[in-house]
Amino acid sequence: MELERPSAELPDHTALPDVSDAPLIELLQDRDPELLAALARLTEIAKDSAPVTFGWNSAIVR
Amino acid sequence: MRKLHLLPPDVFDELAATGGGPETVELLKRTRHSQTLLAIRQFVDHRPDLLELLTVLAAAQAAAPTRVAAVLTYPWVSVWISRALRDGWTVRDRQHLAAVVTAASLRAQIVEPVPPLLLADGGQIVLPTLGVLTVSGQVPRRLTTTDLRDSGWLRLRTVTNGQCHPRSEIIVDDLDPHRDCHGFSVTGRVDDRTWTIWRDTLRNAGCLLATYAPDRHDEVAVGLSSAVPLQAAAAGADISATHRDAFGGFAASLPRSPAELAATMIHEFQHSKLHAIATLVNLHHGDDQRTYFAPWRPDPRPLVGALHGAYAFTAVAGFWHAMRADPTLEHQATLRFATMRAEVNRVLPDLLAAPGLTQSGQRFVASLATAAGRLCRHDVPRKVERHAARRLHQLERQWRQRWGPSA
Repeated sequence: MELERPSAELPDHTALPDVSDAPLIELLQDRDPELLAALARLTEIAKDSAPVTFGWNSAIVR
Repeated sequence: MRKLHLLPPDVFDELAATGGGPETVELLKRTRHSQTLLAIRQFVDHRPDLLELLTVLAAAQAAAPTRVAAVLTYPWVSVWISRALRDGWTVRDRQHLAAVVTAASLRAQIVEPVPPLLLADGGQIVLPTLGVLTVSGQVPRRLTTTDLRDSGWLRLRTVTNGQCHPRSEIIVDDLDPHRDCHGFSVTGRVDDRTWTIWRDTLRNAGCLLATYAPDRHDEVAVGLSSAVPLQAAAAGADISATHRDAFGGFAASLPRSPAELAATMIHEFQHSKLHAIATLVNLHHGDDQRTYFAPWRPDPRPLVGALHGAYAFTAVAGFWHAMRADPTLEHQATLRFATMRAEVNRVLPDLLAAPGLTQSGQRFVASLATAAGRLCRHDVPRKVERHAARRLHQLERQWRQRWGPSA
């Protein structure tokens, strides 16, 4: 099942800010508009999406 | 210019083909860490009274960033903070944040007063990754490791993988209240006999993976950090589950054998990986209401559900193929491999044509379909192949009788 794929760079990124190495003390005081916009987006996404769990019960099918 | 989490296309393709490797798993774990830190940052804007508490957390992070990150990326901390972000902040969240900060401070080995440490129901302080302290009398202003030796202390138990992967650790969490998020009943504190089964089966599953599926082993060794025991379902049924926000955490009923648990660990960790990928790249449009046939489930599946299943079972099919090299498991592994291989290769062409996929979603499914197609290069006895095909045909016929041809 070898399939042709689009060769372009990856689109559809969510542009999640990478703060994984940021000192928390600096992050708490960060008022950068880009960061604030990302925070608002993150909250919006969280509120719009129900928690999802994928469960597996071997008795259902097998 | 702010740094963003971006998946390079080649890494995305490797992930889509069910792999990625330990470095990519670390990358996914960092995205979860970012999400948690951003949620914390967001709370401060709305709740300035949390600043004092978070300053203690910042001090712990400055002292021991890796240890504090281990607390903040702990799956049941992630579930809690995502829930608080989604549903709003409550008094209980203030209480739990104090406990998270305390756990981080203890792990960072700094002794800071945590203002004020509140008690949960039953006079308990739940310290994620560590355990539960039942307090009688006055609430302590600060905790030290000495308090974690008192009679009121119940520690979480950790499985280390011994010789197979000395640095790999999984916390068997039967205490944290936020572990109860899967829609299945969790156990309470498991007794010593049950704990021994969990410990030994996790260790032996790790050794099986290291021997027969070292790539998978290296991924789960880096990625999986907590297992939650679930109550048994119907007789003979295995249950397992993964929550979207709990990267590296999974829940399962008592494992029947090391091989079954190894398959469960791979299956559930694939869900974790795909959830993490979806926080970085939009794979589908939210408005697609179509449903799909998935042989591993009796109900019509939405696109996301069918994709998650195909992603998990393609990886597990590869695992069972690898297990065919084990003389004691060869027959069982061959049967499982042939069955799952047939199932994923039935589902993926439907997903390739799904109109709800974004451009990256199409690319993802194409890579996954290629990986599933590669499984067809391996021979299995004709009798087993026929059995898998018949079973698949029967499942689809039953499914279409129930749900109709166009479901």
